[in-house]
Amino acid sequence: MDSAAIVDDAIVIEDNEDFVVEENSIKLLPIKRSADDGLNHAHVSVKKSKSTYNDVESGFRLFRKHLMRHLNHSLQAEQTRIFKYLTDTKEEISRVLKQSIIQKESHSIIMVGPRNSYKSFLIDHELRLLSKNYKNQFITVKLNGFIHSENAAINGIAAQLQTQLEELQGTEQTLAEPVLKEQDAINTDISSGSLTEVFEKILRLLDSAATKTNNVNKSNNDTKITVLFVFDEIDTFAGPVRQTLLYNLFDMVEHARVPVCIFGNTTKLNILEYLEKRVKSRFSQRIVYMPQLKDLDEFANTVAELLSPLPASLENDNEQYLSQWNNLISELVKDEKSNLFNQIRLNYDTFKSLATFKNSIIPLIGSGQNFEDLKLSMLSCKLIEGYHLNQLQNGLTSTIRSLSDLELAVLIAAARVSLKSKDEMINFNLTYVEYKEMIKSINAKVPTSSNLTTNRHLIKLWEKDDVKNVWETLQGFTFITEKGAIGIRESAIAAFYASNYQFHGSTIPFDLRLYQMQVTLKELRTVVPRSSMYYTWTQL
Amino acid sequence: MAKSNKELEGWEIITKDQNGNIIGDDDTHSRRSRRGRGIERHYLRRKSDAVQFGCGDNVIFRDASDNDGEVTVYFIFDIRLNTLNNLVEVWAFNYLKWHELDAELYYKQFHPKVLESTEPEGHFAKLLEDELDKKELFFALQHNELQLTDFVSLANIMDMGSWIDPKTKKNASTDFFVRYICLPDGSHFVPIDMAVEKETVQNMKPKEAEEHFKDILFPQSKSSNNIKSTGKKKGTVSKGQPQLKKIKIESDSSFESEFDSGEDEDDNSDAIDDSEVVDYEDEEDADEDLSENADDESENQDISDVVEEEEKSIRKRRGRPKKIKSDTPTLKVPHAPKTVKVKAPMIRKFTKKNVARAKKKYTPFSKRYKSIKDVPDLTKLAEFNQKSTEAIFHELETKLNTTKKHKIVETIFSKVKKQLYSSHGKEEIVKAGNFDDYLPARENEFASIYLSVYSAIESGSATTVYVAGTPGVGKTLTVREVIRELQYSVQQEELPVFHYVEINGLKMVKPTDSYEVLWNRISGERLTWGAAMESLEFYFSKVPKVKKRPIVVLLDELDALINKNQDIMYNFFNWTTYENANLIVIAVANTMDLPERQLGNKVSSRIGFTRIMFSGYTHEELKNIIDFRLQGLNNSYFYVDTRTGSAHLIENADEEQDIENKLPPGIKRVRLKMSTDAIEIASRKVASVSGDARRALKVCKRAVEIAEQRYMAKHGYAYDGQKIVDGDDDTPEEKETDVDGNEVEAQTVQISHIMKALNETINTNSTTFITRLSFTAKLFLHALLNLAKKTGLQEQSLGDVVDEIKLVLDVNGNNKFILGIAEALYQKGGANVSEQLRIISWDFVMGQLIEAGVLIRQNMKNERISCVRLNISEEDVLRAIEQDETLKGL
Repeated sequence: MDSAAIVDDAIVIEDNEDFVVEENSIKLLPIKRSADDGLNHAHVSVKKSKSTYNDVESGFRLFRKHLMRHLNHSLQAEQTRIFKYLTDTKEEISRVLKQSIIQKESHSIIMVGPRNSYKSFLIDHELRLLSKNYKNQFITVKLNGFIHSENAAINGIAAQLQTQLEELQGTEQTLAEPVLKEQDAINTDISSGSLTEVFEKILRLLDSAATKTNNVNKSNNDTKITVLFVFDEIDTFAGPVRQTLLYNLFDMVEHARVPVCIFGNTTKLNILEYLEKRVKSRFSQRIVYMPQLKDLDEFANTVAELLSPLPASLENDNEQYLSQWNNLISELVKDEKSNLFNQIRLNYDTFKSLATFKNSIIPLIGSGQNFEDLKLSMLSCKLIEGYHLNQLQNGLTSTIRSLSDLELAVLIAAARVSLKSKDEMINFNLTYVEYKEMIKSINAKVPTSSNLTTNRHLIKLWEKDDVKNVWETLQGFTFITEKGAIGIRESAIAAFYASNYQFHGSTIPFDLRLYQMQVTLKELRTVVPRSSMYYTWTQL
Repeated sequence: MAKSNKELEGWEIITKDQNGNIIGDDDTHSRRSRRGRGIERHYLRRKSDAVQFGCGDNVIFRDASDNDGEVTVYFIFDIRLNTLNNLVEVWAFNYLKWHELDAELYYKQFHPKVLESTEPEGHFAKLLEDELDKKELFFALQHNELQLTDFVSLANIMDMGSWIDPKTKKNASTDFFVRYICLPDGSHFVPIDMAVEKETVQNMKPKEAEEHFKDILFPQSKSSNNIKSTGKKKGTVSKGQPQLKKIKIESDSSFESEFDSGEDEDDNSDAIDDSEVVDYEDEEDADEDLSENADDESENQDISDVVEEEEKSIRKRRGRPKKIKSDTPTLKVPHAPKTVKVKAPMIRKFTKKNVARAKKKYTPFSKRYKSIKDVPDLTKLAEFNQKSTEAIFHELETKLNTTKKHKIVETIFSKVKKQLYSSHGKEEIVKAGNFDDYLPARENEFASIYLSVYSAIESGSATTVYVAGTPGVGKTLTVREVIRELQYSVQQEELPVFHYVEINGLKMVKPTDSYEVLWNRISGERLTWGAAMESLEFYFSKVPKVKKRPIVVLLDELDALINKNQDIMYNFFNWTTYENANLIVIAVANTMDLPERQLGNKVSSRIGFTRIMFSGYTHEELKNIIDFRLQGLNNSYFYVDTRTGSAHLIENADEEQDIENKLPPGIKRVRLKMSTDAIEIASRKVASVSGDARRALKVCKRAVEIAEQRYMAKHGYAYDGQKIVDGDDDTPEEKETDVDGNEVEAQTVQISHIMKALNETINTNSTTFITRLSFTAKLFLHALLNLAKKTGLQEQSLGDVVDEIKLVLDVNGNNKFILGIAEALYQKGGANVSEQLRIISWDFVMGQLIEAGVLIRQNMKNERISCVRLNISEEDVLRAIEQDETLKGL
């Protein structure tokens, strides 16, 4: 009945240390289609996987692990494959980073793109590459708007600066006299003190405008460490109040002696409108829109890249698997009739998201027991279909299908009342009356030929108090919602209003509280099976 | 006590002077007239046997209450004549006998170990009985009034030594010995020598005597008169000495602590905690100051002054508490002396720990001086403290240093880019340049600010300058330049030395921090904002002009300094109206009428602003600015290492001549140019929008970056000095011939680069974004637009959109693609799934659109009734949808 619970209930395929499911847990559906070989095959493979770990050939296991890591972009920087359509953006990021880390210029740049458009991925990738040669040349401060409020961000910056500075200079300091070090700690602790002090310290540390340059003549060999700020969800820092943090950081880009580079990631296309005019004036106006895939061909090719790791990235033993696999993928992607291509096309039309596709293919790869097995399931793609079907379990249809007879009857009654009333409002009283009517007229049609056994054929008419319980269940599924109820509370204020409303609403007696329907009677008609005795009631 | 002459019968009163001469035994009514002669002593003499006693004598009286012959020994400390009710009153302290003591209290003090044994009750009393000599008495500090009729005899009180001495003859009934003084309840024993005390008390007034005994009992409390009481003196000295010493040591370096402890005294009557806190800070500051110790000879004079002041005030402080503490006991000791007094120091310690977290001091400057005359010359004070903080930050900064080990390729564009940072100081931009060039089109504004500030500093008066203008029109830059010029005048000794403080409203966490910053800059100390505000108020209103320097405050981003009370802006402007202020406020904000809007007539009525409006730059001015920045770089020649792209600017013609003839292999000359058309178009475009110089410079910088990117890609240069062989760019090299006919490569920043840079900022990209969304997302938007067209409303409920999508798909059922996609979207005809109510990826698509800012959704629990509307222009969406081949036809 509780479909959500079913979906959450993931099965674990035991032998896979590298079986990583990122967003959704998977449960394979018990699909009864005996004629379908591929599906049976999938079942078999799952069963097989419950045998011992050692059954899987070690070479294949390595290959599978490698493939899985490739899918999740967790390989080492050199082995990571950057999609072709991202190349230009990657070059641009790399250029900005090199200019600020190597040439010590200051930059500010905002990257805009929907979720899973590889914004942070590209930055991290480039940083990983750069850190090989220029490890001591930069410090990265990472902030996330969902985690840090403006004040927390200030403390966060201080703490991250301090730890990383200590890390960079740690070896020298531990050798110094402990006494000296203690004094140092008192004076140069960036992250200690009140918020005001911390903020002042950060500003003075990075901002030359605050301090006068006493000794400009420094030896040429001395340069400053680049401080790199990476903001996720930068739009949350550009809130309606004072954009103190952004103002100061962007200001630093222009003033500071210390080279500062600011990367902001956001999903908002109109991020510039969020920035206050002074902040906007200081921002470099440089916005990188993450590229999107143009057409189906490009999408298919990118999926191919997603599925095939770079050649020669694996040791010789498993090279055979890798090349075979890559060949298979490139063939399948080119063949417009292949199952894989169908799946790609479906994804292209609906989600157009590589991340979603990746998630759907992970169970397929994770459950492969040997190369032939994997190849077959790749050809059939049944597991991908299974994944999609599983996703539907959370939909309205599945939830309605899972309702008991009484619950369905009450739901239909409620939908009928909603349709009849002018403003689509319903309450429990009206619904119960409708329900009673429904049951009575159904019972009236039952032939009352024999006097003794009538009760057996009749449907029980439940008491009002009993139906109340059902009513609340329906509320739990949000088939019916209280009038004006506010959804997810995004902010403290929203939560406050919501709680205020509840207080107001609960003063009305339970029977008379107003509710609104999430599904219409028309929709119910398409979902309720024809065999159900309530089917006739799904229209007025 | 004798109420009448009758009761006095048998007694006579003898009055003696200090030397023991009888003044006149019966003349009791004219005491007043004889007062001048000195202390008089009264004695009572029994006529029958000439037994006499007076103050300081020990006597035995019968207990008035019971008649079983119990007697008590008393110590007489006062004989009062002719009181309201009686002719003679005899006041005395009594002695406790051994059986009047509480055994437990006794042992508690002398033998605490005895108490540890668990014996039955009464055990201790018995023990005491055994231990003590029956003739030992304990002097109790309790008032008793005696009846002359109960008089038995005089008593002889000895000390321990003479008592034990076997040679002494003892009279069993009248001889006693005393070792201790104690409280009336028989606790708190303190050794005492009665023989000495007798002498002392004889010369004291009764009140003094009582005080004196109390001091003996509680040596820490001090009486208001410090004659002859050794115990008390010891207490004061031992307490005062070390502190004084300590402060003396510190005072070499610590200014703040002096001021602070100075203010302690005045505040001491406040709650105890208060002084505790400040005490603590004293110590902290002292530590700080020691570490910051900068021994500045010129300061010494000042310091010693302050030290003296300090010591004085410390003495004063010792005096005050004395009174407080000795007053309370007078009231209470006779009944039940409390132990609170003794505990007081412990409480102090405790609270010290409690406030250990207090970081800032909060006693305002204004409370530290009794009168304005006490305020030292602050002109010398101010700079003193600035150095220490600078040192700390310098240390911090060096942490950010790193060595430059790697190779840096400075391309021909690097210098240009550096020049185009919008806020470089004058020095960085021009080495030797005309001032007018530096601030193009800001001559008038500069002049008016300069003049008003200059005259204010010169005359020592206060003024306000209000500067308004949109972002990026050079407000702050101009003010800074004014200050720089003024500081130059100071160096020339045209002007008195002034303080310059910059406060940026957006560079502090909360608006009230501005008080702290300003006070910190003035005095170098950190106060809480409340205290800082009071200090500033005091400083500007009360401190005479001669004792301080003029202060120029730049209030940048004034609107960020507005808080709920609006007191900050009001205060800053209000201070300038004070006669003593010597304060010049330069306020910078975005809007002209900000003070009026926020404060109404409160401020504007009384302050004559010098208001200066900065307008946006015109395109010509912008062009000048850009040209100016590129001075010496535009049209310049570089030597470029062809292998790495590393460039060297050819600075003067001589050098050019020298090297020209023998150009080493691998080096070529490149000419860098930014075309005038490009600059022109950039400045025109920006001027038409905002006139923001920052913007104009950024556009140019971006254009240079784009040009650089192309240049580097073409030659395969990389920033880290590695040449990438990548020759797919086949655009022909721009060649031109110079005077000598040599071929020189030229790199030009052209209009196309500028346009590209401009477009980057203008293009919102939303159309492209939508075009490349999935079919379902576009279908959603299509349905939304359809509904909007049908109903004419911008907002649509999601339920309607769901229905509309379904309708669109149903209506176009004969379209092959739609037919196929509809099946997939609703899972129609799937054998094992029933038809879905929402299209696949419904939630995903909606989330994507909302997060991208294309759509706004009302946050309702019921999805069907939540409303959505477009957040971007309808045309953009329409244009994007029309590009979709399938949806175009629907």
